[in-house]
Parts: sequence; structure tokens; C-alpha cells
Amino acid sequence: MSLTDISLTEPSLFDTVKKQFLYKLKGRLGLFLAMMGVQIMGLLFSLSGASSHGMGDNFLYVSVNEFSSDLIIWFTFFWIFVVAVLITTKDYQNIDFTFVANRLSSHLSNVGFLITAAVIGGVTAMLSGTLLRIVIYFIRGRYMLSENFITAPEVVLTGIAVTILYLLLISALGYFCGVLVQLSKVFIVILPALYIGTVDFLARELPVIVKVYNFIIGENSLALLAVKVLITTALIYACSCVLANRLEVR
Amino acid sequence: MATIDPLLVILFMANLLILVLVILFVVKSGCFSLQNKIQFWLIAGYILLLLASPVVIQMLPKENFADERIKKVSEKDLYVQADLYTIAQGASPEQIKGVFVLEQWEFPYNGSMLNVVVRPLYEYDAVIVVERKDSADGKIEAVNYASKPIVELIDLSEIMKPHKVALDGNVLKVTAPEFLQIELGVFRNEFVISQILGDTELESAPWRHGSQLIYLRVPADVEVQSEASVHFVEKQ
Repeated sequence: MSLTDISLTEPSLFDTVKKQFLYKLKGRLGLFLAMMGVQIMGLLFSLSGASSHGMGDNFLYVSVNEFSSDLIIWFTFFWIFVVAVLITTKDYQNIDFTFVANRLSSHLSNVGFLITAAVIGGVTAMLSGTLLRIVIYFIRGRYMLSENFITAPEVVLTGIAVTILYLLLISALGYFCGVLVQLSKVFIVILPALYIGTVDFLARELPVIVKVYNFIIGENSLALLAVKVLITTALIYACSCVLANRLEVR
Repeated sequence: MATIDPLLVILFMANLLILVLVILFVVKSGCFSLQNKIQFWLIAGYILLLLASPVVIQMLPKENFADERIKKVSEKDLYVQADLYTIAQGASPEQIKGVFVLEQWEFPYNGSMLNVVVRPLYEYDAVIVVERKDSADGKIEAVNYASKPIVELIDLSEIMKPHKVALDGNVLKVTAPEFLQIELGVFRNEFVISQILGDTELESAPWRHGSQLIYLRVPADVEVQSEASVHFVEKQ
């Protein structure tokens, strides 16, 4: 490529997004290392079991300890939320200035990065469940029951699909929160307060919260869940872009 | 919806905070400054390990599972009446379904008085049933009957420990079995799976206690006395 080509050819949006996306993926490997860390941490915490119940008499006490990799999946959710917030910070946004880029290409490459992170996170979180089963098999030895131990491929794939959908939704929410915080630091206080006050523990019985809960968590059809999550995610990203443009104007 | 313990809320928030700090620590500090190549291979190694795990899990020997190794019972067996206490009320042990002999002893005895002691006396309720035989055959027969403990349709009777029964002079000492604690482990499907495919709950069959009883057959000319509670029954 000659000097003339560089100065005269304006790269297409797709090319810029692609270049930015690949650069970000390469430059942010540490974020995936963090994912590995939280998943291993979740796996270690899961070794003690999720719940236990038992019965006994003077001679024999039998308890059944239930294991699950739910904690690994929850930890991966937290990881992607933090990642989504992090990539909206100035340190990470500065990567974009190494390219001829505009705000849209920056957003699109960030979204691409988060989608990739969700896919990798979803696959690894579910497969960590299989790794957990193997570890527990060797630790617990002769008193493990075979029920749910080997999961059919279609069941694992369903789990991966649902986990990816949740990760997409949570990453979009994280990105939105990150953009809000960039808009005004007041949101650092408002957002956690809003979360604790309305979504989490104090207002679980608010009709609107119950409706949101049923809309996503209460959905039993994978296809409908996918449609709902993808539309919601797209809307949240669109809102983030609009808000971020305000940031640019300021 | 159920109310949530505030302590759990605090613990949850503390965990969340620790988790965020761990992520930030890994991202911002030492690990992040690792060379790109090392980071890449660490992540690639982890993903390869995870991808290999579905293959490895298929290769694990199935016969090591408790429900493969230990006999399973049908739900029908579970509802077979095995109330050992009806023996203390005079029912014949052989006629009660689900009752089996865990251990038996026979002692030659020429005395006229037998003192039955139970150890430890106040820590468990030993059920001792005494039947006087028709003849003075000079033999004390002791049988440890038991009913099956069943958990998740697994018959745990083979791991039950019997009582210890020993005759020393005119004292028959009945010692409680060694206390056993068994912790079974089972996997529950992840919530992301049960949201779509429904819950795969454990076997809904109820659990059943196993119980034990010591049945003594003493010669016709032997009187039995004991500090513990002993049930006398007529020969069936």
C-alpha cells in the first residue's frame, strides 16, 4: 500500500469495526484471564455442595449433599457485568484513538467484543460444570449418585444457549451502566442504590419487578427467551449509543 | 415470595464486592502485565481443558457410583411394612416382610438367672425382646433383626453395622452398633437448564429409617432380668 492510498482511501465502517474489534480482543486478553479466575473460584466454592438434607437414628445418619455449578454461572454473570462497565472507562476507550474511528465504530466494536465475551463465557461456564463433576467424582468417590452426573449433549447445549443469552443481556446492562457513569459520576451512587432498593431484596413483590422476572426468568421456551433477550439487548445498546453521543456533544 | 434473611443479604453483597475486587485485581494488576503470549496460552489451556472434560467424563467408570454399586429397590419394596416394634408386641419376626437377620449368636448356658445389660445404657433405646423356649436346652440364641434403611431407593442395609452381643458369666452384654455417617452426593442441573427443561428433582420416593432389634431365645428354666427395658413375648 502506497502513501497515496492511505491518505485518499477512507476505510469502510465494517473494516474499521473489524480492525478495532480484533485489536480489542487481542489487547484485552487479561479480561478473559479474569473470567478464568472467577470460574475457578466458583468451582472451588462449589466443591462443598449447594445444599444438604439428611435423616438418621441412633445407628446411621444419611445425608444427601446436592452439587451444582450454578455458582460458576453466577460468577461469570458478575464478571461480564464488570467487564462491560470497564470497557466504557476512559482507559479502555483510548484504544479507539489508535484508529481512524468514530463513536459508532467504537460502540460496534465494543458490542462485538461483549458478544464474543458472552459466547466464550457461556461455553466455558457450562463446561466448568462438567469439570466440577469430574473433580467431585474423584473427591467424593464411592458415595456419588449417578443422577444428572452425565448430562446429555442437548441438555448441555440448552444450558450454553441460555447462559449466553443471560450474558448478552447482563453485558448490555453493564455497558449501559458504564455509559451512564461516564455521563455523570453521580450514577456511581445512584445505580447500586437503585439496584439494592428496587430490583434486589426490598421490593421483590413490586408488580413491575414480578413482571420483569416473569418476562425473562419465567420464560420456559428457549426460542421465546432468545427473542425477548435479543430485542431487549438491542434496545439497551441503542439507548447506550444515544446516551454516549450526548457525552460526545458535551 | 419468601422473605430473605438480612444476614444473607449482607453475605451476598460482601461476596459480590469480593468478586468485583478480584476481577479488578486480575485485570489491573500483575496478571494483566503478563505477556500477551502467556495470557493467550493460559486461556487456551483452560478452554482446552474444559473442552476435553465432556470426553473425560464419559470415560469415568460407572460402577463406582453408589447407586450402581449398592442394590436398588423398587418403590413397591419401599412400602413393604417393616415395623420391627410389632415384634416387641408379639409378632413373629419371620412373618414380617422387609425384616432380615443382620447377625446371630448362640451361647451355651447352664445358669438359672441371666442379667442383660445394654451399653451405653442411656444414650440409645435398645429394643430387646425375650422369648422363653419350651425346653431347657442350655442354649441362649440371640438374633439381631433389622429393617432396611432406604435413601433415594438405594438399599443401605449392607453398610449397617450390627450390635455386639457377648456372654460373660451370667451377664449378657448388648453393645450398640458403631454409629455410621454416610454422605451421598448428587448433582442438580444448573438453573439455566431447569428454566427451559424443568427441574430434575431427586427421586420423589420417601426415605425410610432402618431400625434394629435384639431377639433373645432363652432356655425354659432361665429367668431374665435387666436394667434396660426388655419385652417378653410368648413363643409364636
